[in-house]
This record gives sequence, C-alpha cells and structure tokens, in this order.
Amino acid sequence: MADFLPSYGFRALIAGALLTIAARSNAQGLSEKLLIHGYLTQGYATTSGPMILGIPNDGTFDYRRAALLLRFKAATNDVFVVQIANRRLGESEINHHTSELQLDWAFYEHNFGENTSIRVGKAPIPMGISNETRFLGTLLPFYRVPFGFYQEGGFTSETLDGAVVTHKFNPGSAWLVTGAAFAGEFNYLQTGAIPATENSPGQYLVVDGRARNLFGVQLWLQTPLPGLRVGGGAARRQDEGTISDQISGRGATRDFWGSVDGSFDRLTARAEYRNLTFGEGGAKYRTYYGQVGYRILEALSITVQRDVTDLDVPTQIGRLALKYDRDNAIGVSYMFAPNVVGKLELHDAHGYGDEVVVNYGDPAIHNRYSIASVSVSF
Amino acid sequence: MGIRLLGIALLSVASSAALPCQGDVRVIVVVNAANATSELSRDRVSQIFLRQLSTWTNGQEILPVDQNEKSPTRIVFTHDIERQSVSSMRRYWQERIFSGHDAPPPERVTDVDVLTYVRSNPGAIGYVREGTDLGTGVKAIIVKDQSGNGSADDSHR
Repeated sequence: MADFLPSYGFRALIAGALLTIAARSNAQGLSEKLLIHGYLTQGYATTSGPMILGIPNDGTFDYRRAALLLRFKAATNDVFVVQIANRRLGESEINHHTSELQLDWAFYEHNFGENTSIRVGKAPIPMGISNETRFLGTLLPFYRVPFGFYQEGGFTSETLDGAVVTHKFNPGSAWLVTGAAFAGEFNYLQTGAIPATENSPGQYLVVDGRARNLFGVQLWLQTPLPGLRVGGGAARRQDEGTISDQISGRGATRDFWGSVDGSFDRLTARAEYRNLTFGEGGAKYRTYYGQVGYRILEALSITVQRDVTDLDVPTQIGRLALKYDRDNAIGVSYMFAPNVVGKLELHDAHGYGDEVVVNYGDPAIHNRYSIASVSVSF
Repeated sequence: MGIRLLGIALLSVASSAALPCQGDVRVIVVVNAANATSELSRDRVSQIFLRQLSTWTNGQEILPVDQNEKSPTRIVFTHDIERQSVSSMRRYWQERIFSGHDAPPPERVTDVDVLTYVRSNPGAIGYVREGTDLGTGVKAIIVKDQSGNGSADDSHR
C-alpha cells in the first residue's frame, strides 16, 4: 500500500513542517490557526455465522476507527489539512494490507472568494452523503455507513491523489446548487472470493488495486425545505488489480450515484443509489439503501436501515446474477454527552459478502451480527 | 424589498440593537469600533458565523467569536440568528470539521472575554448579553430581519 507512512524520513518531514508552521504562527495566535481535532470509535462485534466484515463468530474487541486531523490556516483563503488514522477490522484479511497508522489526507485548499475553492493533494472524494465523514461515529447512526454504497473504504475515507474543485452556483438562493469536479487516481483494496474448481480450491482474496484516470462530478441541490437536499454524481476511471482484471470488460469503469438527504427536527431520512459498471461486458454492481431515524428523546435515537446490493458478473459459464447482499439493521444510539455517543445495532444479512469462499450456485449465507460501540470526538 | 426589524423587542429598543429575548436573556451583536458597519441583515450575520462569508468590504478578514455552548446568550443567538438548536449546530460543525472544510469560530466563556476579543481584533464580530458594559473600542450594530438580499448586504460582501 502506498498510503501508509512509508519511512522515518517522511515522518520527520511532516514533523518538521508542523514545527515550522508552529514557529511561524506563534505571533499570529497559533491556537486559532492550528486546530487539532480527532475521533475514535471502539466497538465489540459478534456474529452468529461465518466471519463477516471481519467479525468472527466468537466476537472481537479488535474493532476500531480513530483519526487525528490537523488543520492549519496559513492565510484567510489558504488551509493545509493532514489526517492520520488507525483502523482495526477484527479478524479481516484487510488488516494485513493496511498499516496501523496511515496517512489519510494531506491536502492544500485555496478559496477563490466565497464560492469557489480548490483542493490539491490527497483529499476525500466528494461522493454521496457520507464519504467525507464516513467513519465519524458521533454522527453516524450505525458503526459504519451503508456497506453496499460506501464499501469499507480505503481508510477513513475514499480519497484521491489529485484535485477537487467546488463551486456554489447561486449563493443566497433557496435553491442553492453546490458542484464539485475531481480528477486524479487512488489506491484501494479489492476483495472477493474466487470459486473452487475441479483443479483448485476456492480462495478469499484481498489485493491492492489502483484506479487511474479518475474524472468525476457531483451536484447537490439544497431545497427551500430546510434540511432537505438531493444530489447526484458520475465518475469514470480505469481499474487495475487482480480481481478487477477478472471482472472488467472493455473500457473504463463507469460510476453513477444519486442521493436524497433529509434531516429534520427529530426525523432523519436518507436514501442513495449507486450503479457501477466495470467496462463494456464487465461486472455490474447496483446498490441502494434507505435509512430512517427518529430522535425519541433529546439523547436517544432509533434508526432502521435496509441495504441492498445486486451483482451481475461474467464467469466462465456465462453471466451470473446474484442477490449479493441484503442487510436489514436496527440501531439505538444514546448521546451521553455532545461528543460521546454509545450505540447498539443488530443486523440480519443474507448474501455473499462474507469473508468465506462461496461457489457459484451456492445459496446465500445467512448471518446475524451485532455491534456495540462507543464514539468520542473533540 | 421589505425589511422588518427583528421582533417587538427590537422595535422598542432599536438604538441598543437587541435581538428578541428568550426568558430573561437578550442579545446584541458587537463589532470593533473601527468597523464602518452599522447594521447587518440576520442572514448575513448567520452566514458570518457559519463561515460562509470571510471578508468585510475593505478586504479585512471577518473574525467571528462564539460563546460557550452552555451559555444562555449562545442559545438565544443560535435560535434567533441561525434558526437552529445548539445541538443542530454542533452536528453541522462536526460535519464541517471532519470533512476538512471548516472550523467553527473560536469560543469565549464570558461576555467580557468576547468584548476583549472584539476590541483586540479590528475584523471581529461577536455577541453579548444586552446591558453588558461595552466599554471603549467596541460598538453594537443593528441586526435586521429580511426576506432575500437587501441593502444591509452592502456593508460587506
């Protein structure tokens, strides 16, 4: 993986840069120019079936996300942001492909007035409702954002090495439109089961992948109804990796998504749809979810969610259409303090997303898993 | 374009530029005395404290300063200007912070602390409980309610 902090030299470079910033900023009120924020979610997870999302049958406390974000405001319109992160995914094979401490973001942002900005470096991809805050446990109703739409993520967010430009088209209007365009490339992990054949046993694989020549746009429309917005986006890229090489057809991967996000006084309602096509003739991945939450008391909320994923994949024996994942969940969260939230969630899942080998034609695996977690942020 | 003053309380005490009260708390918006601005629309004040406006018309950086979340003054200001609860604003800022976009205005614990900050920074804007002795170097401004953009916006971009 290219994302982890690769050497003492690189770490020394970051430390040196921060010390330089601190020294230069002392006279300008360092406490207001250099801000440090962070969050941590620690969970306990267990499942009734085979391992799913790194959760073993006998349970695990090795389930955690944490991040430390440093934000330095060099001038009125110039900001430098670095985020480092830690993730543990129980007994998932993914743990062996990520470093304990990983560089998640490192980007410079310049604002051109009030309505236009550009980010250059390693920055979160503007995709959907939650990509940029996908692991912020004090905000999320469940331990993770809907898996079908967001997957597990490169680390604390899907990021790109490149540039992101955002612009507000009609500021001050009740119909505010915010657009983003992005270009670059990114590393990610490809996961999947290789079915058994007469000559070889099946194998669950986690391999490094690379998406190149990424171009995308996203638009959000804020409606006059306070708290309600709708959005959508599209992107194309070239995927490289052992698994994508097997399921991709000719041409680029095309990605489309749409979102509805409603956050009202006590009610939260969200739905998103995503369609990924891995080249002409390649695999097709379609997913959607609906999520409804209600704040029963000031500190107590309950949320239900249905997450659906279908996969249509070319095989040696023809195309195979799978009801890849069906995950129904209910979660309760309690806010002990503004920055301390406890959650308990139960999931009932049918599908092929578990970290076991499933042969084509085998029935879907039924899994009931639960996660109890505590999140803090500052 | 119709502009109406905020609430009955402001009509009767327009010179003090007070916002409506909740309970016994009334709030006024203050800027550095060197600031040429004398009035702002409520929407503009909201945008300033949401960090959606960053400079005054003279190009100087706007430096909003908040009060502690538990402060009654903060609760009234958030309700009347942002039209949100403090908890909703906390959620808003968490999303902004952890998506790398923004940071909330710095917080001060007391009215005196806010006034000290505003007095020390020519671009600062804050709010304090009505009746607080502003002292020198700080002045109150009038906050007007309005539907859409109005002349009050001319005081800053």
